Amino acid sequence: MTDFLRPETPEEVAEAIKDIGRPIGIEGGGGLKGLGRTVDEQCILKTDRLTGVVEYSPTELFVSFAAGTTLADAKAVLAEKNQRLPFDPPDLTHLYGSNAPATVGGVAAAGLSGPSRLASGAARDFLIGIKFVDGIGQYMHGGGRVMKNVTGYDLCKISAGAMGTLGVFTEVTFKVLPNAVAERTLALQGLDDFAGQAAMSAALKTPFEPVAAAHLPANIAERFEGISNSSQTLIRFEGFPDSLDYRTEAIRKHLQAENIITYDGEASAAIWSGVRDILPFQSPDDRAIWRISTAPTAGPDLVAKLQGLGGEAFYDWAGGMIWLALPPHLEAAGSAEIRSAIEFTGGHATLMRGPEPVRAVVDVFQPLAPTIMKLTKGLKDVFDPNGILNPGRMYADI
Amino acid sequence: MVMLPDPDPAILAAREEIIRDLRTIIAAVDGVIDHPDEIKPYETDALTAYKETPLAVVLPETTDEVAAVMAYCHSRGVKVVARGAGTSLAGGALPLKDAIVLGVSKMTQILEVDYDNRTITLQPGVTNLGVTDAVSGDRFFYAPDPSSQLACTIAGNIGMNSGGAHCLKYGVTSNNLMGVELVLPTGEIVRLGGKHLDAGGLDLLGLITGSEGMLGVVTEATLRILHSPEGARPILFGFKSSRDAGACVDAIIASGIIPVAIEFMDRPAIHATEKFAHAGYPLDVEALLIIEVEGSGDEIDAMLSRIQNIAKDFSPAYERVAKTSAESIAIWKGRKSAFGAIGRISPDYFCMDGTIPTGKLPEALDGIASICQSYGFEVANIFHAGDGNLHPLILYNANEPGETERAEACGGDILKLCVALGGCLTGEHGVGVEKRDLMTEQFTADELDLQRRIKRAFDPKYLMNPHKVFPLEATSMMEAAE
Repeated sequence: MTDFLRPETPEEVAEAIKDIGRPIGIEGGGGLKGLGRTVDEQCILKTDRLTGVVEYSPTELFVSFAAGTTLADAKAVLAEKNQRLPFDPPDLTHLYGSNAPATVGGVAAAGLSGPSRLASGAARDFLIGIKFVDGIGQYMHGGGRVMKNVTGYDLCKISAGAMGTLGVFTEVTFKVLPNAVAERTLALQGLDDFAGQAAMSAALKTPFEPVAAAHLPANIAERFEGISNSSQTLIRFEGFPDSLDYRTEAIRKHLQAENIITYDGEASAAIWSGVRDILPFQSPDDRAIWRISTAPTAGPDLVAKLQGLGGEAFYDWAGGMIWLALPPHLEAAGSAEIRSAIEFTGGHATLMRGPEPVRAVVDVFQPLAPTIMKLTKGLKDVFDPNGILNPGRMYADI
Repeated sequence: MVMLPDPDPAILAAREEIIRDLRTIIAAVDGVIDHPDEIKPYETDALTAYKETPLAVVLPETTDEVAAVMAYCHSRGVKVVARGAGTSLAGGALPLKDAIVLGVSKMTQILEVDYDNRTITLQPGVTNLGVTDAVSGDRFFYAPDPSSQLACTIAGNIGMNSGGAHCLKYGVTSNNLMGVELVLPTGEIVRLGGKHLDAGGLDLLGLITGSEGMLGVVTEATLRILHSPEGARPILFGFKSSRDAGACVDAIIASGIIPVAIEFMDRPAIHATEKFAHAGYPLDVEALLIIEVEGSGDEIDAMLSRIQNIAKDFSPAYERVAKTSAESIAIWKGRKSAFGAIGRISPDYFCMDGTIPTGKLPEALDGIASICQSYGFEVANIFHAGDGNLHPLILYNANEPGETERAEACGGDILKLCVALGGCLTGEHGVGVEKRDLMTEQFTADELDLQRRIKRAFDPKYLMNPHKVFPLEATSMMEAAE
């Protein structure tokens, strides 16, 4: 029987951790439960009662939320002031069949960034302040509320994506930016993976500043409503309307592609939220899903090498982010093949969704070189000397 | 004055032996410097109030040499101060008597330019401007642009997480650094990141960026390069009050425009620069804004006219749009020569580097004025207005007895004010030795202890830059407890 702790203040989080004396699972809403290695936990601390805006200053471009604030609420608060989280955080809870809402703390802890990561930056780049409780119940802070800050070590970056293994976020502060005035997507039709990737690289080697670039092979594209059935190489622009006209026209000329469809405004936004939230892989829900980050030009090669696994893939981040769905019941969810393919291209792969027994035995996150693992263990000891925070969720012994 | 720790007499006594050993590691004849005259340039950095003569200076050329030096120093218990070009304003490269300086000035090769993946891979002694120079022929550039960019190295930029005037749009070093090869204080070599985005595992790359040479020595870096914009032009505004200037910046940002740079100068800064640079700045205003936007000629015109419309609400007393690149250069000329100009009206100055939430600008300027008045110093303020990074320049005369100490105390009070207003001690220069003893203003004892333990996870013997970033007393207490 699992115990649940649901503290309502940072002080209660600190007290709970101080007294717990045994391994404890850390969750926001619990929607990302299926991400990570399986943890043998008898007790779970949820931050879902730490909610609300702590401070929001639209003109100073920052917002601080209690960590358990849902992503949807956070976005709504920002939308009122016509602003957004520039790293475009995805809500992936649906991958795990969960109804629990994504929280801002969970987004920060998992370090999840969407399509605009390519141009704007990642969760780790926009997480400018944290308050957290470490593994011995000390309530501390890192960063602050200003976007330029080099005072001491960057605790925000080391904590972003640490999956709650270093501390329990109680408050997260993000740099925010205004919403785009308008957006437009150019969709090049019918290119294969290699040509699609080349077109995305070509678009980025211009002064016209695409903000996102994704390639959807035909079998993936057909799952999006309202777009045609051939492959789609998507290049997204944001800005003032006159500027969009100019830039998209310039890119058209530059790419010399014949078959281009334009999506404006909401139609464009709908495509990108599908890419961001990995909607093409929503069903069937028994497939293993991998997220692979590599050099953009290496993307199509990597996918070709993995073709034998019988899965399907699409590309974000100009080809550098591969979302790969593999049939169920593959040996170790295809882990060995994927890890060895990455050896050649460089990068890292995460088994975003996989059966529990697999996640108990294979590395879900990218295996680390021995020296890096030694540093990682050293850092775990610094933040959580008793090893009680989400132990094993990221790596064995971390 | 900031105290430096007492040197270890055993290490000082072993100087000859240590130099001999280092000579067996470094291949080049001039790769180990021990002659007092030749060591001299390495005794200080751009925080010239402090000087110290190190044991020796080592200038390796390869990763293997760096690794061998670090492994040797680790086993022999010799402290190491890493150095780029020595342009730190915070004393980041200030040596210790019982430390060697490890300089990267001979590691200046560009290893690979990859336009398709928008990366450049290089040795860390390449200068910041050298990166852009390597790719500008193909109309690419490296975005972070600290004002020392002609001299400062990528090694130093990574160590300090350097910013610059254009980071409002493009971010600071950590947002543009894709990967490194890093030699740990133990001499072990690791690779973090690469041509792909984000790291597998914990974000060690993010942690070492801005760690002020305390966690390792970068021997290779992969940076993101971007295609240059078609053009860029600024507009210059003068305002009757800094409050109006600040409110105008807020309104521009609220409208959805993120200019590439928004620079602010106050009256003393305007007058000092105008006197020497003759940039044609208005002299009858309290605040000046330089706002630069990028794009095609038409895009720039459209954006600047949007900005002009917004600014109308704040009744600018002066307005000048750059129509040509010559006019752009003229507008930037004053701002770019501001530090030099101040250096000519005052024998010495301290350049402070706090960050404040941008809306607190008027309060900060009032507070700074009264702090400086109470110490009897003139102050000029230069401000990266878009991101809240404030550079008050305290004018003083080091030849007057006691004045350096009073100027430091004045600067300390200004930084405390920045923290009290919700900001931080340093936005882009780093803590170094300069702001080390102020860290308790921003962090609790437990928080500083946590950060020191992070250092120890990388540097178990606490040998790299041990006198930087953390208050000395606490560090030595921790030493004693170990």
